[in-house]
Amino acid sequence: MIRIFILLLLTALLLSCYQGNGLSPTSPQDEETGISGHITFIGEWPDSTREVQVAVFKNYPQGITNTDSLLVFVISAFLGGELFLSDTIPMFSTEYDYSIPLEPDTYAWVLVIWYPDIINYREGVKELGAYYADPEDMDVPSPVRVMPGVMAPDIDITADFSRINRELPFFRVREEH
Amino acid sequence: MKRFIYKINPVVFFLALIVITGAVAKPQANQNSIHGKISGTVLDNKTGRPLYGANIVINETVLGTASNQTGLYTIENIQPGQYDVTAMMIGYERMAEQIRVLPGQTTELNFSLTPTVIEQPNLIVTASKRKQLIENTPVSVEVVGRRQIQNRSVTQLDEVLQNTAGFGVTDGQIDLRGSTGFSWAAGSRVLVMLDGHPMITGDGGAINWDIIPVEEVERVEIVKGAGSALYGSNAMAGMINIITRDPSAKPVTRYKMGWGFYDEPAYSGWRWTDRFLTHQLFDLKKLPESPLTFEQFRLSHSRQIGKVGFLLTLGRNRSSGYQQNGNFSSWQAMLKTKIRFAPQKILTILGNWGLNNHGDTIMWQNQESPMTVPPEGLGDWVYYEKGNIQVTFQHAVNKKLGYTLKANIYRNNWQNHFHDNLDWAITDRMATEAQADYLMGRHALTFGSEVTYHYTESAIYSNHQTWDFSVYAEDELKLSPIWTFTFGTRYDYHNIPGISSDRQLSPRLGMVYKPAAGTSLRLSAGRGFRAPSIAEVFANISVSGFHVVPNLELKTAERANSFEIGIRQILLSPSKSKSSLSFSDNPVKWFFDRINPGFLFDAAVFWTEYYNMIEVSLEKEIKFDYLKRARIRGIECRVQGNLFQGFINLNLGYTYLDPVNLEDNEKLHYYAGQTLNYRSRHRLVTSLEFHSGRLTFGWDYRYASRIEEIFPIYLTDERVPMHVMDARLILALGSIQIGIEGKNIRNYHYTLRQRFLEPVRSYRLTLKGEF
Repeated sequence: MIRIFILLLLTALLLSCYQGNGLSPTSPQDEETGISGHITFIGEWPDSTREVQVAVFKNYPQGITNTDSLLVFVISAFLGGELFLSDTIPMFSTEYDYSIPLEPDTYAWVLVIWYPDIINYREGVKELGAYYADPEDMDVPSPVRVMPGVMAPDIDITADFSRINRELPFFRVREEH
Repeated sequence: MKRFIYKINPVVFFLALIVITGAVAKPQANQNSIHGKISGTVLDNKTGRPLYGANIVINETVLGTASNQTGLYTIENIQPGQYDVTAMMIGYERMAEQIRVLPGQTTELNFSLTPTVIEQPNLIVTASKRKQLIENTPVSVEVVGRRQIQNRSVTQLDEVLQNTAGFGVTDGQIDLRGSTGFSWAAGSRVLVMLDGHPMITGDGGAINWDIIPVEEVERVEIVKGAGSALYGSNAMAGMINIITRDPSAKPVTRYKMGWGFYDEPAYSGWRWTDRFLTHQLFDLKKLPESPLTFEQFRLSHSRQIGKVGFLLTLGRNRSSGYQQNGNFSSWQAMLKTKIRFAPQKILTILGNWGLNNHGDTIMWQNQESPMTVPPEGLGDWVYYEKGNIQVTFQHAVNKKLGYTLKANIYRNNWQNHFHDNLDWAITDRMATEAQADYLMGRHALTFGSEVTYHYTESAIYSNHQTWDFSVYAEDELKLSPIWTFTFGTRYDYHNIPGISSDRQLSPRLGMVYKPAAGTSLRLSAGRGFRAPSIAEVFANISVSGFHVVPNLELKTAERANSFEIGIRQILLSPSKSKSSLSFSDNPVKWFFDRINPGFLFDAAVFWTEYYNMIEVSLEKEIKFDYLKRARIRGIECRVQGNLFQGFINLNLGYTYLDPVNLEDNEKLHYYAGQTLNYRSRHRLVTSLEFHSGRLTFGWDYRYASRIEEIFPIYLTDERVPMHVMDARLILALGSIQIGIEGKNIRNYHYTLRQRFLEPVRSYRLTLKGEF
């Protein structure tokens, strides 16, 4: 009799150890995924500036030698969902912190782009600077890998307004490693 | 620099092994005319039934054997003289007898063992690489016996082991007293062995639980604390030795059939399919169609033909999974052959093979739908085949000297079939070891040497090889019946040709003090290490948005200095039989008479300092890198008990951990004083079993406090403690056993790593027996 009593008592005790159901469908605020960094501007902002932004391309423009081809590349990247842009950087900034939400993937070209005003639009979009993982090696821009749930930090860029006058083509493409 | 890769062919390795083994195992001329024998039976003194598997050892010698199914045993090739012989078995009191062995004669010695309320083995083989009384080990040891394994309905052994103190499993990797947390399936700090042979994969250092035939496991010895002084790399936080059954003396066929189904999640919004059987049963308009179920079938046969014993087993498991991509289909086969060439000369060959095609879920889609995967990943699966052949030759040369030769080949072959990844790897691990045990007065010496070679061909690691050479020696010094000291060390040389080489010295010191019967105080200090795995150094993989890159700077092993002090105490009822005292005569004695308690209490304080601990870093990519200094310290208490003449069995284990990083590390996103990732500070395991006649009711409860720190992605995800309850009812009808078991019966939802929901409630029905 005492055994049955103990069995019942312990069973009741054990089953009473209720802790709820643990995780629930309440979705937490998603951790932002993307890239972030600091931009340092060198030189004077030209009067012909319409807008400056950080742009992220999935692919790098290969074999492009003129402004029209570059524009086609930019427009097709934009339409194909392979171009991502930051907010407009306030005019005459000397430094700027940015972040761009992105899907996890590899992005070949992160750069600061300069748009001329409508009068000088024929000059086309220009690159003021791009992201180089090794600042000593500025041969070609470095690809950036974005991982799920991570806002990759330190994608820093130096934007030099003297590069506006630089002629195409840009750089040769480095193989991904 | 060009690296020269010279691959060892596994077939050539195995053939060489057979030739060498054949040479040493050649039967010698009969020495029975000058030597004597001891033979007899081991019986249960209450029931008179023969005891199978009792250990009979001749004290102060390396000679010993185990009883067969009829309780018979024989120890041959004994030099004439006077000996103390001890018989011991799990669940029985030890019994010692003194006898004289005469030349050319067989001395009969029968044992009648008395059942004890403490269900612990007397002899273990893992802590010192040789047979040793459990109370003489200077480190914490826990043994999971056959009954604990067989009473649970499981498909993999880790499901049983996670009911032991300080033991956690995340994604198949062991976390013993906080050693690992979650390792991204690369590198184990606990050495897992099958019958003393390492079962760690050559590439990632992973543990393939699905290759181990659970039904054929005799016991599992879990040794906690640094064991590199005898076992080298990987044994820095402990060793787990899975010991399989020996072949039967008479023909036995065993079978097991199991079927079960997954219940719906607690929230209707998480019900990702209408294939949940419980949902279908309530919807009477619709008949069940491909419900979420699982099946298990296992068949084994064992017998003895002359001097050769066989154990052949074949298993099949299939599951639809409880979540998307959770399905698997696996086969497993094992053949164990034990050949007794001559007295005290035994050759054991074990071959094991497994194939497991399984779906793969890296992360859930979102917490609103945690049982689904992102659409592009639906149908991702992995092909995984593995096999090992291991050979052990044991020879007791005389009563003082014995040696063991071991060799094994372990191959792993896997390929991802993911929407974005088709990586593959074939890895061979080959190892040989020679070990000798020599008794010299008060000293018990163990020494040996080991050579290990890994070779991998792969799309993820490229082609690489590693070499390990080692020598080791340990001395157990019995100063008196109450004082035992252990000193030992091991030297290891680890080489990745053309990349790096490393040398490690791993000393160990132990002390056991037994001031009274049933009391044993222990103290140990030792150094452990783990060489970086091929995966940690060379992995280069992109999958589901994660990118892991190689780190060729991982050139030296991670190291740990461990210290432990512990006590082991057996508490038995003051009286062994029920007296006629009434409550008013002596209330305390009356109470003890009725509950007849027997307890084993074990407590330990442990402290481990880690140097160059390999953890995961996250900058632009994932990379394995060094965390310069970390410390894990804590306490562990364990109670194993028995009440009311075996009516209740109780197991209770509590572990408190303080796992902390000691130096800032920006790359690994650690600051000094931060808790190590994926560690729970508190862990509790409880098991209760009630036995009454043919019925057994069992209940397990596992708790782990909320993981405080995680790898720095999805930091805002909700994390909860783990509360898991299992319950089972077993009906024994002669040699047939029917079991009903509920797993996670509270249907509690939790994660052990980011965005992966652990199993929901499931029910299982099993039928097993033998003839």
